[in-house]
Amino acid sequence: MAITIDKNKCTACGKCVDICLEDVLGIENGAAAVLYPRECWRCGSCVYDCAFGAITVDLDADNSIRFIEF
Amino acid sequence: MPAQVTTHSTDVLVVGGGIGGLAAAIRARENGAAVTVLEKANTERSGLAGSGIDHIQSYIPEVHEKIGYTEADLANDQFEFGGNLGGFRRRDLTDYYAYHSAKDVIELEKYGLRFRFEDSDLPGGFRVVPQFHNVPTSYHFEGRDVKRKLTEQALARGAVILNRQHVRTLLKDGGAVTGAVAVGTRDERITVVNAKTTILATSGVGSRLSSSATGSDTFENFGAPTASIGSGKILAAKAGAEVVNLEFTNLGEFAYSFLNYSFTVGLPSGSWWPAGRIVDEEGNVVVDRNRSLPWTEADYKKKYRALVDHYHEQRSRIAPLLIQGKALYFDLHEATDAELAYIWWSLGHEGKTGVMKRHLEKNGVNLRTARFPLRVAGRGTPVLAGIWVKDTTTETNVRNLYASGNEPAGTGMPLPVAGGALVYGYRSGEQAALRAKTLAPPADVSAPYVEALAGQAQEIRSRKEGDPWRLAERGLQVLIDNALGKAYTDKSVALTQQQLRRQRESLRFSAGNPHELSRVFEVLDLYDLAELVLASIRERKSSLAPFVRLDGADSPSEKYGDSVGVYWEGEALKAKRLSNLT
Repeated sequence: MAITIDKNKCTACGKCVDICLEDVLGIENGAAAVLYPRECWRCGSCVYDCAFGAITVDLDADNSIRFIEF
Repeated sequence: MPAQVTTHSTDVLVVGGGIGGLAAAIRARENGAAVTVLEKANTERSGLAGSGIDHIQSYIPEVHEKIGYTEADLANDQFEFGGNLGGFRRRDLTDYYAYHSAKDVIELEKYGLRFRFEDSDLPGGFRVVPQFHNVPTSYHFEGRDVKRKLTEQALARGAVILNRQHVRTLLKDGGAVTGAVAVGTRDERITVVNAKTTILATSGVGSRLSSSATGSDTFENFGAPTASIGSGKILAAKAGAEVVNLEFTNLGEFAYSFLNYSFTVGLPSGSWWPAGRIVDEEGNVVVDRNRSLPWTEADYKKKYRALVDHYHEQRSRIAPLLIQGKALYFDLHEATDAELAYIWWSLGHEGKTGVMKRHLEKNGVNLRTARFPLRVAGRGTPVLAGIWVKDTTTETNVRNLYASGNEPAGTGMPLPVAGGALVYGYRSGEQAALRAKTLAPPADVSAPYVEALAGQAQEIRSRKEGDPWRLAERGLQVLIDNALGKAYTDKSVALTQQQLRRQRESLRFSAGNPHELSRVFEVLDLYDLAELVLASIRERKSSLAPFVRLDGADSPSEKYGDSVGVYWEGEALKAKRLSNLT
């Protein structure tokens, strides 16, 4: 899952739902929720705009950036 | 179920609330027009600059005057950029940009975005980075919140912004455009806006036709965001306005990328950025790291030009090596500590690179010692496409319809994407407002448009089991990538047209909610866009890489001075030649 929401930090203020470019977020059970996880474009806007630091956006582990250390 | 319809009236309607659309709204308000913006997402974070841009191209008088680079030099650079491929470029449009960027772009600073830095050694305290011109021509600035700042400015001036509105059709009355009809992406309610003048401030590129905009599959879901559907071109073409330059689908033949981000590898930077180089498996350097050139250097222009030429010469080796199957890597092994610190700062200010930065941190990647593989990227994206405009007023060939942002006659990549969006946003807003002053409010002709749209929506929404939009989109992308990702011919394109038609005719969409309905509409636009692209390629009738005519017929004279424009007249797809020579 690209987006992780820390339910302990989320206040369900709805800012991330308001601004999401791909419209993948909603409010469920008193916290932000990812309604369409496959449609996240990883733009990171929700991370920037969450006043409570409740959201992180990651690249999928199985399909992440490949880099080679040497 | 009868459609719920809300009707608005305004002087200037702006379709799309990206940089271009908000700039248009700001300037139209400043010229006394009532303005409504219809935006598919939310203008605070929508469009191609939604999560930020860290650079924007401009003439920068404080810096450029010191090294003898004039606005006329920039105008020439803009026109000749990339060898003026195919003669598609419009001198009037590139000149307008070059001579207005200095005033328009720095307005962002007045809106509260940081352009000046204490550690800069440049006049004005700017950070300046290269973008393939004869000298570096882009401000490097803190533009993460550029869309929020522009939204604030548009609202402060009294523009009405309606978010989550997906515009599906333009209204037309007696040969003039008189507004638009939109569907709410969250409530599927229909909104009609009757307007004296209408501005299409839509994306310049239909990147979503290909599975990946950059060739990197790092991000498994979309190759490009919802802003890159190309819907503005479909709105224009259906209203009878010509969409041009769709046939240039694979600019540069082989894009290379890594991490969905290029670091502008090895490009000489002047004062800043970057320190990257490209090496092969054995560590042999293919493209050197940047060597910076102080701005106070005598003969700066000449010396910088030599660096650029050297870079281009080296860069031309990349594609052949990758095609041969050679492994190539980008690295920052020769970067200084200060350069690496600067790269980290920069990564936090443009779009997805913020997510990338976090990923690198989380995995403990040492930027100095890591190597990032490069890949060949075949793609069939109409990177130079746009909507034809008559002149620098940005009015299209359809009365009272303007093209803004990166749409005017294909001023999209590789022309200044954000800078052009801003300059042409302001320009179209001003011109559409001035025209609106001369017009009476239009009649409301929306009834048949609303009926057709509501019927289409209901058909899709009421279908119990149908094709999901995602599979239809992937199917189209596979078709286009295979057909246009590398070289193609008149015969192969004709075959692709047949395949596209069959694929489309077989589709029966369904949507379980308003969100999915909006996605279905996007995919329908992508199929329309594909049809326009293929028709444009066939109309061009001359061999232009990567298009090859198998019958050997070719007319060199056709390569220059004209664009192919495609549009619909009712159901019929039409094509015409439009002269770029002004």
